[in-house]
Amino acid sequence: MYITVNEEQIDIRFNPYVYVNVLGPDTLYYVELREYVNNDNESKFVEGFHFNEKKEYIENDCFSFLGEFYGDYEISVYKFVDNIGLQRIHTHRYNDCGKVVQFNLVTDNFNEANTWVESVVEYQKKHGCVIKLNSDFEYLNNRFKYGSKLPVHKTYNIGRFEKTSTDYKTIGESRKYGKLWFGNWKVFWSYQHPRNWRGLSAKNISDDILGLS
Amino acid sequence: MSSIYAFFGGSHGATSSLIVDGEIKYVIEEERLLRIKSGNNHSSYPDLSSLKIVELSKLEIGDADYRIFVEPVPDLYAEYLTNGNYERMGHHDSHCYGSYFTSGMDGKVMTISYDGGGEKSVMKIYLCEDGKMTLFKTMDMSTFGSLSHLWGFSTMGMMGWDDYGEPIWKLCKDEGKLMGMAADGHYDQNIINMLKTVISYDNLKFSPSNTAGKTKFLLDSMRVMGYFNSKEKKEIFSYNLQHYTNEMFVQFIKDLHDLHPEYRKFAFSGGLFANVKLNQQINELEFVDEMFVYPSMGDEGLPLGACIKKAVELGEITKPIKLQNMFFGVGYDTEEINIHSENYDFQKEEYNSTVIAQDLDDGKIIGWFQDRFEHGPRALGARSILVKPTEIKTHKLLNKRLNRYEIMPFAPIVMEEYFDDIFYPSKSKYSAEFMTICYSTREYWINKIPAVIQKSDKSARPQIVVKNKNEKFWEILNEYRKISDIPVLLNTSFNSHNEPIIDSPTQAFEALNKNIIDKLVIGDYVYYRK
Repeated sequence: MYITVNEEQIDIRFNPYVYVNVLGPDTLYYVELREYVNNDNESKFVEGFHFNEKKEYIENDCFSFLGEFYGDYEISVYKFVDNIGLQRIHTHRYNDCGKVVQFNLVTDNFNEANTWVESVVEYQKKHGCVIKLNSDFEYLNNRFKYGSKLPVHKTYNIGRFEKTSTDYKTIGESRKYGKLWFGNWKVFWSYQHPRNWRGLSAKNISDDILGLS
Repeated sequence: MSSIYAFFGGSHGATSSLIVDGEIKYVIEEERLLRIKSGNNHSSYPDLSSLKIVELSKLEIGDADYRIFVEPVPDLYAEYLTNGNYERMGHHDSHCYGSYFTSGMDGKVMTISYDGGGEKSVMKIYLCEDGKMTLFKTMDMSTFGSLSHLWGFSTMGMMGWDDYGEPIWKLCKDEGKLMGMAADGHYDQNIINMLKTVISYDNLKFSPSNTAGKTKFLLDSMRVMGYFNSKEKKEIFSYNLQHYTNEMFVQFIKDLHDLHPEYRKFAFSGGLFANVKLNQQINELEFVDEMFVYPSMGDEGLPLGACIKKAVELGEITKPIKLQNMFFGVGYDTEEINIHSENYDFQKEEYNSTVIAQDLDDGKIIGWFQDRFEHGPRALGARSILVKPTEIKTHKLLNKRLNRYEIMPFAPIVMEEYFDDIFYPSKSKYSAEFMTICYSTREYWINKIPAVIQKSDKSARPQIVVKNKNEKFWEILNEYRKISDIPVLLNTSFNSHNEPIIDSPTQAFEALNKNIIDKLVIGDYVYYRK
């Protein structure tokens, strides 16, 4: 999704995780990701850092937040203006209403897949998105063949995923306990799961990932 | 009665502490033994300090009644050190219990900790009375801003990064340089406006959150735009940073006071309160009867605070106490000092305070090594360097010998009996025993002790020396007073630039050997080069 604000071209993507880039003309931009938790009026800080395409002064050439599960995210883009300081040039709140959202059900258990489909439908009712379903079960997939030609706005992988080597962002040895730390001590279990799925029911797992719990 | 070990590690400020039967036995910062300043080592663990306390106390960690790790806890390390047998203690709770229960204050006391963050919050406020603490407010990191981060990331951003990606000036280490430079700057509304875009204050709330990221962005941008490319520009920024910090936090304290006017005593901890100029502003508020800043206000103070909290829970500490001193580190007896001296060919004499006072008056730089080393960031008379305060040129000499920046101000020690003659206001003097607050200097004294007075605002950061708390330190002041009529000396920490305060006699002898000091008073003897 490209947005043009004055001269700034802002590229925001959510598939499968939050990615933001600003294509000039300035060299320094700051992006902050915040989240509205439980419909609070005030958002909570998740992650923020500044970047530029040329990697001058800083290490990053874009902003990304690797969490793949649902968040009621708000993205703010700032630039530095002389004698003013930080100036917010754009704010975007996650909204997939009318957009295609792909749900990959990673299980070979039909009952589990069926349970997860219930959560997918609940998500669709809540957010108004267009469902695209991928599973091992054609019967389930065919329920959601709308033939939309829109690009996929967001993908949710629903499954029981082990932590991977890309779950790198930990503090100290907390990783042993299955925690990832972001920004101001925001903790989640992995980039796929907000909580440890062990001990959760199939319904709990999909609801966790889709923000329905 | 119980023995309580507490530790903090995994970031800056790694420290170990031990309380036995409600009495503080040891508090040792890792940096003193590791010989790397905590601010240069943001992932240090209390390895050497815990071993040293075990060695000195002869109490194995596993044999203590309680083992505590302060949040954020490095889980695997904590398991390793305690064999998995430990409890976790809140970060700000440890700060607050440490400050309130060492404040010596009776009656109603408002206790505030404020730093860059711990246990998901940047600040906690407790309402305290007669040994009871009631949580009043917690400020969550995800929605509140941090003045500590404003300072930390301004410090880093002003100077930028070296070729290895390391900040030239470091978080939790070099903030004092900006505070020092602030004295020579001036007001600039544009800079204030820019700072307002990263943090502001209104109605008991500092916002927005993530002051760290926003300040880093602002300062990097300002640096690229040339805002810091001269000494003068750095001073102007620093002035406005200090001014804006004071303005916001003083308003916050006023708003708290409006809400709870019955609280006129305050205890503070957390890294923000290393800012002695801010502390001065608070102390000068009319409604503040007394304030106390926990002497180890940064994260190095957490383990002692955690030990105190546990002792309070156990009923072994029931009321705020007054600290005699902060000498909770390692000490050396005469025999050990002699062994350390064997590698050097120095002249040795018995200590005579009159002779040393005369040396001071003659302009000599005296190394002062007594007792167990101090806990906390200040040299308070155990590992100090003493110089006469009467000549401004002392700065140049000291900076050259110690390889320090010019901008770092020097502080006075003053005999308790003369404090009110020289400095004002006459309050929070117990806190001033630990050099945690700046005071204004009376006109008559400004030109008499210029080496320890901030030339722009004529303030100083005095340490009050009380005779019955540190008699030897008091005595040298008194002897110097008899010669000069000045009951003040310059006291700076016994270390070179970028080094932790020294620990052992060898480090002191090395300073003498390298001509950093002219004479070394160590134990009951004086050493000097032949």
